[in-house]
Amino acid sequence: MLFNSIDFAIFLPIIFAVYWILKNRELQNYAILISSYFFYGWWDWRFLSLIFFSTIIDYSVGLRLKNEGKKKNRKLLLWISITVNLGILGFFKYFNFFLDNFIEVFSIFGQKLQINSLNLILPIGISFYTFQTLSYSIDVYKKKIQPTNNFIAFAAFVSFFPQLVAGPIERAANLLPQFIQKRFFKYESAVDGLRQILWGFFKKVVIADSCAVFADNIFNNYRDLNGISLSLGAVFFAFQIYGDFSGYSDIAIGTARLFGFNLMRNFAFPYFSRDIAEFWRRWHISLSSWFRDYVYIPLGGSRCNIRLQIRNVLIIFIVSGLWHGAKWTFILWGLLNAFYFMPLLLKKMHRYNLGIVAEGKIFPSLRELFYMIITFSFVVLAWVFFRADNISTAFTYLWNIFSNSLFAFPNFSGKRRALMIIILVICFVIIEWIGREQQYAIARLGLKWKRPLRYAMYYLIIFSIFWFYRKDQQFIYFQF
Amino acid sequence: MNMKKFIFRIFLFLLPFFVFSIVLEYFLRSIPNDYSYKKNFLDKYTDYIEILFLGSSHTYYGINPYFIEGFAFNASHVSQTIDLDYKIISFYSNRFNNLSFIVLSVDYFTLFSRIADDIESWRVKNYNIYYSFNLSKNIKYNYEMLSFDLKTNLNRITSYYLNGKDNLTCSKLGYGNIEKTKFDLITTGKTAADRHTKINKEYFNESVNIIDNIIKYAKSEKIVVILYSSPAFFTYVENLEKEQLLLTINTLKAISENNANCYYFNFLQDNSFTEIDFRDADHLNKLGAIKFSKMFNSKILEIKNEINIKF
Repeated sequence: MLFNSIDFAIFLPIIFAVYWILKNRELQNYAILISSYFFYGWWDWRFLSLIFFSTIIDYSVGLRLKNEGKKKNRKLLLWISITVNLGILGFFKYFNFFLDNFIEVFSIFGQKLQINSLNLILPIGISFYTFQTLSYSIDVYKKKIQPTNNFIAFAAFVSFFPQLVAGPIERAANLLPQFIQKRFFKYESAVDGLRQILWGFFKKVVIADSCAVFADNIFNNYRDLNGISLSLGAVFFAFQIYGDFSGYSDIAIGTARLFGFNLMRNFAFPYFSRDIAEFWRRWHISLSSWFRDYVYIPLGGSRCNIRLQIRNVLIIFIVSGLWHGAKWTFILWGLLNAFYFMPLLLKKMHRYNLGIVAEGKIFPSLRELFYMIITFSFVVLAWVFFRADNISTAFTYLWNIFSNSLFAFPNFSGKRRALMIIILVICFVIIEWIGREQQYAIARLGLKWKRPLRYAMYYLIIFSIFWFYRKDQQFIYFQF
Repeated sequence: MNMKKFIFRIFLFLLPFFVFSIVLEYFLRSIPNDYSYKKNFLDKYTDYIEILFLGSSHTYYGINPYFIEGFAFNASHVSQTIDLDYKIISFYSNRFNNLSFIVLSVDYFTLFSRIADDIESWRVKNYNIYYSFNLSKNIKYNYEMLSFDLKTNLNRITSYYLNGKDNLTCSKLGYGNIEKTKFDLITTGKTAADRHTKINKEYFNESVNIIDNIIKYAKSEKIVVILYSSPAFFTYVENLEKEQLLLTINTLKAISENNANCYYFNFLQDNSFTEIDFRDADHLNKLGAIKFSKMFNSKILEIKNEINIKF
């Protein structure tokens, strides 16, 4: 079920009503579990078995770890969880990729292998819930959290519908206790949740889907377009993916708040970053921090010699790229980001910009502005690899950007509408800039205004959402 | 208390949207369109109709009842599939007091498709709203305002209520009377053939049963059923899958041979139609429609002469 569908508009109020009518915490968990399975099964009920299987495995591993004292046995249990979760993920997501590359490598040596790829459907959200359940087993193994013996609460934690298919990838330490505690309806929190949902929809429908039209058009016809058009195409895609994914996260976080849950923040205005390290602290935070905690730090992180530090950074970015999909373009995108990151690491400047840019000020300094533009430009160039169908397309695309035609007049179709979208994006960036010290851009916007004015703003946002709404627009991150 | 306040405030906040939605839906439904027109026409003239044409866009743009002798009406719609043809017949079955001919286009794709599966599935709402067929309970197929985006809906409203442009594209007798630009016959031949080639043959038996039921009903009411395959340009025909085409044609031939009140005419590769008769590779233009309607009129007259012998 898509957030931006009529089905969800009907589903959400019903579940909301049922959930709060049931005052008992256990019954509420049942309601969440059933509704989450319904939500997922609406897309394809067959893959519910995968979620259920993953849930059973990690729940059982957690309980066994609680009573297991021997280090060797504890390790074995952890490896069972890792093997099962990554096995499922690997099979559905990477089997064909590795098989095809395996055949390719053999063909280099003149060996023709006759192995057919499997016709596999990638279950929606598998990369998200797999990582979520996996983190539970690892945390229990490391004794960071106590395992739960409440199966319904655990199953609801794994399948919680607001964040099931595209995150944020929650940690058991944050979300699981919320399923075990009693929840209370808080008016302010629910209203804030609705506001965040509204902003999420705005980002997805008005910004992302509008930019998608031009990004798709330009990327599909890149051979016929000049440098300036291609660079605009990459910028459109940058705002498409940001609006799409951070919009989804806002809707997820806002929806969870309606049910009394607080999910972790997933985006913190990443395009206002002053260097690439800051960007990665602000972009897809739940995934970046997952890799930091479960891959980077166990590998030694930055508390080892420089050679190992470089290795660790390369691993983390390549794995991060691979997480997005079984394609070389994603790996190269990860690698490129690693190269961006490396100079900061070597100069020990990767934790230089930790605060909010121009905090407490209206405008950034020229220096901050310069670094933000530079960082954004690097990010946009990397997005070309992320968006391109294959590596050769990505390189040709980039090559064509840096041609003489970079300073020509754009030659893609629909320039008038594109100009309107650019103006819209600029307005969006201004609103985001004003609200950058909040959890999301409009968190405090208009709160002190008189109600009619505030409502007028909300109505305007809603109207623009309906105005720009196009049917059946998927979220990009569903494919991951 | 908190919850009550929340629900009350949400209700108040959303109230203008509910009101706006109701008004929007009312205004959209009040814009005359082919479905509301044809439904009203059928309601009013069921008693008088002698020849009823049904089918998809091939009939809608191909048969102009003006050139047919007798009280003929074209009740086809774009993308109307055979189950919907049958629904229309069934709905009025007790009221056709003067009906002599039911004319059904059964084309290359007819036996293998349903509107609900098609890219045109949004048209299902027209049958729910204007024909009251209850084809789907899905909310998006029951409201005009959910079929298009807000921009399109507001355009429709301003076009009609301010500029007087309705959504009616058919003539008084139901023919698709609109000028459309001519498309490239080679390209459209390939794309249309690809679109119409159904790998899934699950609807075949059901479609044949529907035709059988129509024929049975017609027999009981002494009505003649004419099945036909519409004319198409060679670029369309040569891209069709032979198996699907042969299955369709052989099935229709067999049905017509087994039923005295049923005739089958295959115009698919009729040489009378040349490039100037087509709007695209599988749709006739105005000129082609006149030619085809006159041709059909002759066929109906021939059958009329035969009828006394057959019945």
